[in-house]
Amino acid sequence: MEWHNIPDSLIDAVSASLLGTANESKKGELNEWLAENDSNRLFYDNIKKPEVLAGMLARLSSYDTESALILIKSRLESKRRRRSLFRKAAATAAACIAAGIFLLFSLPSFSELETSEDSRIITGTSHPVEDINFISGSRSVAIARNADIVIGERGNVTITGSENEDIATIDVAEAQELRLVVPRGRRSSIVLPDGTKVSINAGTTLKFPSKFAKNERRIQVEGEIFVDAAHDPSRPFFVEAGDMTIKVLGTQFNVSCYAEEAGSSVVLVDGSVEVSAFEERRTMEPGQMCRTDNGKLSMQKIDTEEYVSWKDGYILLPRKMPVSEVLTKIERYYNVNFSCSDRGTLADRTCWGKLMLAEDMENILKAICLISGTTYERDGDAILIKADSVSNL
Amino acid sequence: MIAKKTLNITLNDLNNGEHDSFDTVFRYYYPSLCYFAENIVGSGSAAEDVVQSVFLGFYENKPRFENITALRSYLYVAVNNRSIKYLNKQKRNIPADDLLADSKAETDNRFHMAMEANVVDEIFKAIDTLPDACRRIFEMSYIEHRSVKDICEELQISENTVKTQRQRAKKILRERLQGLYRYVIYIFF
Repeated sequence: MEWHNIPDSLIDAVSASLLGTANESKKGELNEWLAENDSNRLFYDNIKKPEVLAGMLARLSSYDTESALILIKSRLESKRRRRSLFRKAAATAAACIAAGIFLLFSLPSFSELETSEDSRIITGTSHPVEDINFISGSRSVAIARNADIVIGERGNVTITGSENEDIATIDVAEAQELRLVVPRGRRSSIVLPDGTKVSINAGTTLKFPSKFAKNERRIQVEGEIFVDAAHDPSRPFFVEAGDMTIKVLGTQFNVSCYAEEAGSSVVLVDGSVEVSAFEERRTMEPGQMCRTDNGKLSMQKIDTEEYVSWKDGYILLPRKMPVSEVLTKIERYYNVNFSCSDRGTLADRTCWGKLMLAEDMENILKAICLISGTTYERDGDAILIKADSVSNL
Repeated sequence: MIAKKTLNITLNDLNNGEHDSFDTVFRYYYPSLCYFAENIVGSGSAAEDVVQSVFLGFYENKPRFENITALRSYLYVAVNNRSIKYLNKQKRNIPADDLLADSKAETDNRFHMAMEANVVDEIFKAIDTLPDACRRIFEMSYIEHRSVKDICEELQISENTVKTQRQRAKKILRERLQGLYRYVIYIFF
């Protein structure tokens, strides 16, 4: 008998005996088989142990059949559309150049690719990107692209697009609270009436007055901003971010305070700020990060570039970073959600370097996949990222 | 996750390349083939890679089969070969002959590996056909080997209920494991 020609009746006899439902004829078949040789006996004695069988059943149920089926379907589809490897590589390289991506990359060696055991997938969903909203009182201006906003001393607001084209001008007559809502997938910047420059990251709401008070300047943020505060010792600048209040005289710093993240943090690039929260007060030095952490403030030394590079349009990956972490970093910029499947996160697929935040998500995904040894497929809003190795197997 | 309890396809559809019937075959065999491959390659994710690439070929080449046993043999042989290829790539310096060793011991080994995968799969699917209430009692009793008293306490039910449900489970399992309910296949020629 060939090893793979196993009679159904034998499978039934062994299974039924293990479950205690075997009739006489099945018991007979089992015994006959057990008497054939010692290795059959050893096999049966082992599988008969309850803890062994329970472990085997648990392992059998650990494979994810439905995900695998989806993966196979998408791979069949992409095989149909597969271009030659050269054209594919050339196109990806071109995409990287187009996206202005400078990569100090570590391409896994071929042997790594081929022997990798990692076939896990990451799926993603891309969502439509909403307009930026500039709100003053009952008036609201929707801006359908990344925009720069300047508020003049007399409350005249100028909104320009990324290529300096005029989008709108508004006059805000009396002093009132203004609100700028920058949704996920958009970025913006604003010059406040005192000349302070604020870069606004995706998914951020900023509140500020059209005219600052005589004795202080105060803004509120939920999300992430980088502030280059105009120097004015007579009017300290305050940023309120969640539990934190940051007092500034004139300096550059980053504030991050997303509702979906625990706590707020300040990264100081230059000058000096004073952070207060939970009745605690700390003075920061450049190169430090201060964050709220379980009801208290904690300080640490960091590389500021990593935290503030977004304002200059790139993400710095200072060390080898798993693809899943890199994807999490870009979620907010392109309004996309990635979920790593239960079994893990393509942990051995890494990249590092500078990722330029291109306008088009397609380009940045292509680049991430190229350097990390993964491939990516897109079907409408759905995104699938998986290790390269499978097709080489 | 949908566990296919019976392989309910027509060989005719399969041989005519109907996509749905390929999906059915995939859902039915995927776990047990992964189990088999994992015993050879020693890693769950590598095993899934192996089985997926076998099915990729299966979908593309659309082989034809005379009966369901031939289909199962084909899949096990393909997974075995692909697993060996995988191991060869991993351990380049080991001569392929060593890995492909067709000694009697090796064949025996493969037979028992395939046997284990089939039996575990059969037991899993059999238990999976049980109604929820009697499945839990059956698992506690026959897989975990817990006493009737123990089960009564944990599930807060009477001794009688445990016994009735156990009988019911055995009856259902016995029918299934006669082989009568395993394959529901219509063969057209």
